[in-house]
Amino acid sequence: MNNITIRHSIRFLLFIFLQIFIFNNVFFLGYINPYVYLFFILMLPFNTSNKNTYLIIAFFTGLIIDAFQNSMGMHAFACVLIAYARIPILLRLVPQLKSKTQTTIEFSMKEFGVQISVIYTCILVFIHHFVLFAIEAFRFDIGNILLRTIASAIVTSVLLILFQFLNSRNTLK
Amino acid sequence: MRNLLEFINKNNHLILFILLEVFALFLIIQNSQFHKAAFINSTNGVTANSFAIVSNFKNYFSLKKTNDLLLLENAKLKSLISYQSTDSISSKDPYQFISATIINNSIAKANNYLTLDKGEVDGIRKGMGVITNKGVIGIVKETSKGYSTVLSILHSQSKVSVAIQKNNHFGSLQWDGKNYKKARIYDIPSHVDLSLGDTIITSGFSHIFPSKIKLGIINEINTKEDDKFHNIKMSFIEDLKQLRYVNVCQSLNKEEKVELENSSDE
Repeated sequence: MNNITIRHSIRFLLFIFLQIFIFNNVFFLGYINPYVYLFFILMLPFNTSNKNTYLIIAFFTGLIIDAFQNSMGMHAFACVLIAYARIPILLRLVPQLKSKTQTTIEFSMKEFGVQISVIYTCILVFIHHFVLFAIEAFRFDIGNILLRTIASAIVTSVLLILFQFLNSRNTLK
Repeated sequence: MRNLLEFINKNNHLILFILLEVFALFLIIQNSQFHKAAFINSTNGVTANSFAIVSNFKNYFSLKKTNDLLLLENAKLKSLISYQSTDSISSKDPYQFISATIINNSIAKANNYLTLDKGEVDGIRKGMGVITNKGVIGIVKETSKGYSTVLSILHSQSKVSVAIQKNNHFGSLQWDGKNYKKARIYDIPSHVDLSLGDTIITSGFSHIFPSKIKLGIINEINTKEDDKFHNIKMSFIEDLKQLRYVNVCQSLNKEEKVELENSSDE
């Protein structure tokens, strides 16, 4: 158990707790339910030798959220998808990372800059929400799905960027 | 064979990804069938217990409001009793009620569920109806010893048999997945005379819910001239977002009725 594992385990427990007991009861404008637990998945380290582990962690994170929402498998599906897409997307955004992917890199706003953090967060949150709402509706009603996706993705992204900001200020100290 | 192993070794990340996604899809499909038992849901130990703790905590904040509501309901029940005792024709359709507290509720998804703090020990069984005095809430889907989950009326598979109070024409109510305050009513022929503000009640045909519970008010009629059926939307009387206490009901004559209906089918 090193420092990084402990930090991520605490973050895992904290955000699962926040999601289930606080944010699952928050509805902006009546139906926007922010999924802040994504913060944990987005903040997992980048290390290509461990990427299978991250997929499995993401799967179980999603499954726990599902168990509390009776939405069996939906969050697990969306979480595994973004955990898979996460590393290629960041490599696309920051090409010079390619040479360093064997070492453990942690995502932080301080190191990658505000612009990249915002783009990275928004893309992944959008993918997650779109897949989640599409599976949930289970019928082809693209207008409704897109509307819900965009509205919820904006709220979730703003919250996640705020958390990243607070997080990077903490590590500065 | 060697090539295959090499292929698996080379693409292990992609293969694990696909396996996990297929497993998640399997779970989704498994769970989408109404009567199929889902093997992880919020009636099981850890999740339900933690909901119960948080729910206990949250109850303290709404004590005053709840108390007022209970007083109101009490008064209403009392008046009902006095009304019934003077009525010469007593009800032939007795229902048994079990009161329960909601410990988890959702309204914002396309398929919503509730969790109640009573289960098999308290007499709750699969398929019982869940109501309040202001409306229909759902049907019990899964039970464990001390908890049960309810398929909310706000679920794409929920269907309730309803009637128009003033003329007893019946139809069926289904939620369209958009606004938790409104639902659609189908199968009412277009010649039936309707107006905005008419009350919708349960018909009692399903043996799940007692008849004549007021549950909604018509607030939109979009019927065109050549339609065969009315195109109606109603708004729920009960605020499904603020619910705390419900009654689980079971018809005491259900078996007899179902048996009779089945024998006349043959």
